[in-house]
Amino acid sequence: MKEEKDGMAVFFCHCDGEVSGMVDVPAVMEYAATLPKVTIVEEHEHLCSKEGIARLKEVLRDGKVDRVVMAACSPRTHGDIFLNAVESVGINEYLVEFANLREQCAWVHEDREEATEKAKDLVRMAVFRAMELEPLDRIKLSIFPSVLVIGGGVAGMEAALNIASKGFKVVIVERAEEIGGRVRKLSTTFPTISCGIPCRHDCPECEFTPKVEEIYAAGNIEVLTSAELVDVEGRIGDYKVKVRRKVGEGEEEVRDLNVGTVIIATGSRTFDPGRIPDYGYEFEDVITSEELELMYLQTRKGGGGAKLLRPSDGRVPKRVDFIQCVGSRGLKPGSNPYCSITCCLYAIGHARAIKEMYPDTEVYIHYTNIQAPYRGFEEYYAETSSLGIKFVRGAVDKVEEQGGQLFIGYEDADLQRREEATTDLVVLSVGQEPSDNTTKLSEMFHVERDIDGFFMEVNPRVVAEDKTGVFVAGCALGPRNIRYAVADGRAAAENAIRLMEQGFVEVEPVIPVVDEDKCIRCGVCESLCRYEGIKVGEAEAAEVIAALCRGCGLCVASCPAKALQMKYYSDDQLRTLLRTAFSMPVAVAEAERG
Amino acid sequence: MFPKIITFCCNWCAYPGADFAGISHFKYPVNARIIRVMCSGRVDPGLVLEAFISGADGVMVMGCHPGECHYEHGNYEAERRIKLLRYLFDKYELGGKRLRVEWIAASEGRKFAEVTADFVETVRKIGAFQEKAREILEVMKDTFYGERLRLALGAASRALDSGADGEKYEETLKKIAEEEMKKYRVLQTLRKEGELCVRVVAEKLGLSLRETFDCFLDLKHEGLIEEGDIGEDRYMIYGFVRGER
Repeated sequence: MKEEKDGMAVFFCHCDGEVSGMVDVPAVMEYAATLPKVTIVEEHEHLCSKEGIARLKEVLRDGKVDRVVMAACSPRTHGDIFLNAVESVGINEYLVEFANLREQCAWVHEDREEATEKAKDLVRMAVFRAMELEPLDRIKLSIFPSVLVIGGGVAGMEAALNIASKGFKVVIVERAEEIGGRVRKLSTTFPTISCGIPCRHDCPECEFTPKVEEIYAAGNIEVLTSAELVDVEGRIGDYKVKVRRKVGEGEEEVRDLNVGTVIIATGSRTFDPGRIPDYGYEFEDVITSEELELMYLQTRKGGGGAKLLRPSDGRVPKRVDFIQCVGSRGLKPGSNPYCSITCCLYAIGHARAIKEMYPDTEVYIHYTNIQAPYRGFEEYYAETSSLGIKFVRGAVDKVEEQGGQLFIGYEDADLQRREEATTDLVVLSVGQEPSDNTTKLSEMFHVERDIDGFFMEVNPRVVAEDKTGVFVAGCALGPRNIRYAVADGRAAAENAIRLMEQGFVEVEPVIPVVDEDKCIRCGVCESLCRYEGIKVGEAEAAEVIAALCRGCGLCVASCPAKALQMKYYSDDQLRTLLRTAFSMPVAVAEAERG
Repeated sequence: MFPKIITFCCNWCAYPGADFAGISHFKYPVNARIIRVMCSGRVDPGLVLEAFISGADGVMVMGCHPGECHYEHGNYEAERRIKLLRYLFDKYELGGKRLRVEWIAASEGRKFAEVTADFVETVRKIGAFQEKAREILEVMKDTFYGERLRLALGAASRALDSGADGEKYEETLKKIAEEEMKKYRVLQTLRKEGELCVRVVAEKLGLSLRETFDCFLDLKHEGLIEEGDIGEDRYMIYGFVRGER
């Protein structure tokens, strides 16, 4: 016979004095014991500790309770630990409610008496809401074992190789004619600075080609170049994707793909310095770092290694000025507020290469401060200073050309003076910003972007659940150098692999339910939902698509007919919180008075 | 304790923001009770009014900053509702400042504490609700749970997305809300006093005969009231709450 369980347990955590220092826990416990349905009131010095969890389980196992209130820290702090413990003894995790006595009570008030009274209110609210909760089961969704990788740069390539090595199918969609991304355009990379063969040709192909070959050699990676996503439908685990691809002169084909997860590795684009007039980008001998790379790659093809030649007259410059933070760190109006991370390192690398190729050429680097806390970089930087490269701290305020001569005006903050000088070549160390397809992709897959427009880095402590199956890697998340982009690719691959190996994902059942008798099929819910989580089709009433619904409850609060109710955040549950926030609900108080 | 404050916090920005105030030990008054919802867009305006009816003196809705809503646009819906509520609170002399929408990022613990302290002070200055407030709040609750206003509110973003004039739409919302308020005041009067005719209700509520008559028609049409006896002229039509005779 099934054991009858209908009591409620309230657990109090002292948090080693963090709660009990400001809240009179015994007084609140005494109060909790008087609340309806509460059969167990327990306390522990440190509930999230091993002993605390053990005690929690022990009490719940013997306790004949089916609902639990945790009067402890924020549910966002140790909520998962408690929920797991509660589930492990057979109590549904959706029958647990929290009273946030630490972050939202003990830590923010100064009067012990007031804080204790508030703590009683919070516990009362939690107990009454817990009574209203219903057990819910997580929703299980299947995962199709195939991955779409958008972007064939180093991050995307690494992700693809990792996934393929586990035997899963991968499709790489690359916008350009060949894979490789920006790294393909770099003449040398840190820390090797060359391919390792001391031929002085420094071709990236030496390092890079084997990686590309590996991609093409892997039997289960399909590479679609000159291709772009045009449409996406579906859910985590089952996406139907349309890819348009150039297949010849003026010819296109549209491919339909079915994938379970997606990795976005679309990189970033470099800042266009034409947007800031101070830098004189309109002059021929003012170039970006990217154009400098291109010059090296092109001159190499002529044999005899890379050459540095002024665009205007093809001569070797006698003086080169690098300007740092172009478009970064909010230095000038029109620039982005953040640091682009890679520019210090590549400017120093370029400066050294120039000094090595042309020892008589003077090289200046105008910087505000050098940023690059990578392994080995500090040593590289320190060594550079001794090579005769001049580091000038301060802003550049003028780049002008008069009669074919470049002039540069800048501050030398260390000498506390302003300088003007003639120069032969100015290289702008341009920063990075979101790729131009970032907005489109974020809308297609409902992946959040951060304040700078890059894809949001997911903090698993903040966002516990992913309902997209879309993982982002590399510079699409913000500027980073090659090794971190590669590491991102690996991490994204691991996420996709984990889902595919499991074969399914379980998502939160916090979704609306439709009262079909009340629904008037007005379509407000459907029009407000950005996730296609609710639809009014041919059926009698709106229909919730559990796999797509994100559980925000916007439709519920907007439904003209009040035909929608939210699981776990129902109107009645919220109403209960309102009615118990400051005193006992009227009905209970009256019943008690008899 | 006065004032009593209900603060709705979204799960992604405002609630962690409140937690962060705690982690940083920023102090604020004890008056506010936080209610967590997944999105500020989940906060039904009817529930906001129920908060007041349940004894709150002020209600705040806190969500993610514009453009940063975890659900893309729920915060704008929250703002639209609270703005309309504020307008009506001012119009019916309940004190629009008892309502506030705030954007709190997860990192803005200090802002959370400051805004809470400031709101408590603001509501303290407004003072307690007057005796008659409860009736108005009940009518307003009916209005915001009513289909007509909810349809207009719910269709707002679709209309604005397809190029409707934002200010005009806001004016329309206000107009609909005011009309609905009248209608539900009539209903409330009939609920309280039983069967009455248009003329008497109009006098009681200080409404014109014509608009009261329209309210009767609407209420009858929606099936909320039934027609009773008919007197000498059209304004002597009696109505009573459906099923209550």
